[in-house]
Amino acid sequence: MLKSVVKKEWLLLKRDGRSVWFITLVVGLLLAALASGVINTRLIQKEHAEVSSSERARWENQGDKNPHSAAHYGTYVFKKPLALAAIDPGVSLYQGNAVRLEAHKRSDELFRQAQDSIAMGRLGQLNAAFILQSLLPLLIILLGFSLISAERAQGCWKQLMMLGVNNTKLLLGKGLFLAALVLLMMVPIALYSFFYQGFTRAFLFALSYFGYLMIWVGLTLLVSSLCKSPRQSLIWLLVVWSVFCLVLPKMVINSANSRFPVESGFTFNAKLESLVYTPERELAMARYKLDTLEKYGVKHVDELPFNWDGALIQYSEKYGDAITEPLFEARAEQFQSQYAYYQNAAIFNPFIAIQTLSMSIAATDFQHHWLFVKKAEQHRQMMQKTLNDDLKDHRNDSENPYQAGKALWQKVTPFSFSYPKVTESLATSRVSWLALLGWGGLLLVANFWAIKRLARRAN
Amino acid sequence: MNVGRFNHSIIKYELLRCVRDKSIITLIALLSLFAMLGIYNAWQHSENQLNAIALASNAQQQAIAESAAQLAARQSRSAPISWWQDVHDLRGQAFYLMVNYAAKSPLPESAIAVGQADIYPYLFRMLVNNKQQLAEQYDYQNPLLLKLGQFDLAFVLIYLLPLVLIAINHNVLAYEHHSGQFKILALQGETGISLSVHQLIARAMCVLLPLVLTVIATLYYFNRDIQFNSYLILVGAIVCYALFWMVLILLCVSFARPATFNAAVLMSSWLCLVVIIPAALTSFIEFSHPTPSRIEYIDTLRASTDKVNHDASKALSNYLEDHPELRENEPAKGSYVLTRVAKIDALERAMKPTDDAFTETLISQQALAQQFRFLTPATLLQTSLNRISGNDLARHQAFMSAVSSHHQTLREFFMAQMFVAVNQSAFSPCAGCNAEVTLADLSLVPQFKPFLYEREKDAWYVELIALLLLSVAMLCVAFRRLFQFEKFAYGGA
Repeated sequence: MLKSVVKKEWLLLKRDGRSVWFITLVVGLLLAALASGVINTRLIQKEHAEVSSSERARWENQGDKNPHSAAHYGTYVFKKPLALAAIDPGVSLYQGNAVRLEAHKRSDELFRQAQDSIAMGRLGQLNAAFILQSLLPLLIILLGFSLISAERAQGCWKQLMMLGVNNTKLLLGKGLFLAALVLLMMVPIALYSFFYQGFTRAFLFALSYFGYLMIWVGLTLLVSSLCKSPRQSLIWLLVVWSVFCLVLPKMVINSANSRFPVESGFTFNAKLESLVYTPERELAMARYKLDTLEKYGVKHVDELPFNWDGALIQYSEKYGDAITEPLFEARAEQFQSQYAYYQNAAIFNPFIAIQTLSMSIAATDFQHHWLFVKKAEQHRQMMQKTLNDDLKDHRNDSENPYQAGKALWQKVTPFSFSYPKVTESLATSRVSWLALLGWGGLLLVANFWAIKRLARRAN
Repeated sequence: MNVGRFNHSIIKYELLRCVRDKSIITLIALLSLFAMLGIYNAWQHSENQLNAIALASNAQQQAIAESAAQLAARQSRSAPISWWQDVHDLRGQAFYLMVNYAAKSPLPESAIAVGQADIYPYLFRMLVNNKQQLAEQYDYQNPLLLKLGQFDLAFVLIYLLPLVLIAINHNVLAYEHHSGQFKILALQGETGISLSVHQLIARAMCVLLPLVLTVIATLYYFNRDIQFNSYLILVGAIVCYALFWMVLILLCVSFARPATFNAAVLMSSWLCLVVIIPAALTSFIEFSHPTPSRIEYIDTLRASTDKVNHDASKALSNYLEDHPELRENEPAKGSYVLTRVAKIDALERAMKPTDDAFTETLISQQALAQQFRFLTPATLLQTSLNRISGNDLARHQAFMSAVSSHHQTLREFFMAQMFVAVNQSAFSPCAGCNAEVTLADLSLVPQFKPFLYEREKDAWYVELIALLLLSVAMLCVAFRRLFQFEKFAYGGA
């Protein structure tokens, strides 16, 4: 029975030129987007490796100089994308993927790719995630809107019921037909994920997309069985698609932005300056000096058993970090709140669920970016401490200026950042998982209810 | 019945139908509400920018006033003061303390479209440093918000208006044709072309009239400074864009297929014209004119910085070659500050080809985008709305050019003053004592002139005319088919 239903739908599909044309278009776009994503991601990974190593070589071979000069010379660190970024680049276009690490100053990430882009790009980016999240649902709608409603409108439904056809199997057959088509189209994505990304990440990625697309299959069948005519069914499904994929995501993120506002760059930077470089800082440094002199029982810093400059610079670094870190954390907290607010809307919108999940698994969301930024800041602080401690350990005066060399630069370990295991990020995206599960369960029940209702009416 | 009066009745009937149909009223109300919300969001965005600019301007004026108030105390100060903390020291001001901003104020029309205003920086704090450091200054916004884009009027018009028009009009003529009513109407002298055109006009009026009135009223409510011309261009753009979609609907219904078929074709067209083609065009443009890598840019910047530092001794003499007016004041021995500024200049020169490569790529991409914009109505409308709102690339590039020129002016101002100070030994008048006051009046420091950008006067009508021409071309085809509608529909019966 199931086989016959699938066979019949397949036959109808083959006869309908429009559907074949549409499937070809979407598959073509998907392959093109995947190819361009893979080329782009590999290029970034290659550049990342090359420039990271040349930056490291530059750091190690900067020559002999005062450690504090080296601290100002600084270095750059870069975020390397995972292979899955080729499918879902997430928000990486809209955030800088390089950070400058230097003395006294914590910098924001540099060079957002979107800043070098034209306005047309804001109308949409043709990447595989966009096709999977927005276009495949549309394809499911166009292939499935008439699956049940057309049977009803043509009077076939009543005849089938009178013949004693099992309505559940009929529904499953039609669902299976749509699901099989969707699965076929996901094959290139799944193959790429499994070959180039670890199993767990690739499996979760494929599973989440499968779940999402099945929700659209369920939604399409439900609306098709609730509507009296294919026209009604198509219009309702298109309305649902527009609301889910276009209107709601924008509305929710805009609302999140109003609810958890982030201050302007000017205000933030002004706050950083006004809170760090204050008379209190001068007082704290003077107090530190007095305490140190007292501790060592000397009257002048020159009498200390270490280089006072190094100790003072490290103290002022720590003083500044203690003030700036909460400010950066508070700003990130606002973003996290915006993100949580957005993710909670997944309960009402499976598009938001898959979007947040996909970015999380591909490690292209703000959460993963923030981990990179935090790691970069930890590295900056470690780097400053290593240099300042070395300065502290060496006398430095105008007659005998201290200059460190390669041995010290090598003491600063190379920056390394690796993304956390995907299982760790599951916790932050549990709302999205639950939303997908909830939508799936709800639609399953609703579909059986709708089909039973139809069968009752037919009898 | 008189055909003219009959058509009048059709319009009246369609209007009544629209008013009585709850789903149509809901759609129109939602569209108008979304338009209001979109205008509010964009207005809020521009208000945030205006507030930041106002705060920056106040801080700048306050810094000038405070410096003047502290001058007497500084002149009589004997306690040691570091130059990098001294607001009356040229070096401190130039490299660390200067409160000098360059700002691009949003236009009153910016409530129409956020455009690229959420990505492009609009406020820079200027210092005498290499201009590459300007890249560090931008408004840190939620990247997800930037990815999804603002819910502004442009979004409502580009994406939602066609959907509403399609939803309301996809069964124009098709309903009458397939329900058999058209045969009865045809007996009374009605033609396919007349019926469909009058139906479309009536239904479009139901959508456009409330939308346009809502847009004008909301814009006026939020900002009274919007020029009358801008309202006219905006209304023209909305009408032309709507006209394009109405004509496309007309073309579709002229094939005498069922309403469902029309809906599917129109939705596919919407998807192609508004979503797929712009995205594909962007990919093509980026592929044909690839943006140089910013990771490699950093590498080049670092290599150039090393080279400039290595050749530091030559930097000042190279600088003086281009500034002969300063040569007569050249100090006998090298000076840290003068070399520092000369090194900044040398680094900018070294980076110029790399910086230019980015600008040129963006210009080439934009030139291609300008040509390709004629391929879809969505890109035409987007270009038009971004230009009206002042949040387009051309205005931003003009701003960046003004910022660059101000940056240069500041450097030249400080360099000239520093030459004098070095020659007068004002930075180190005696061993162990404070530097002299080298910048007594901060108001003498060049300030960024309010950024005024003359929009291309004749550019606004290009998109509107293009939309009209596209519509007229489709209209000709649609009319040709509709003239023979009865033949198509009933096989010549």
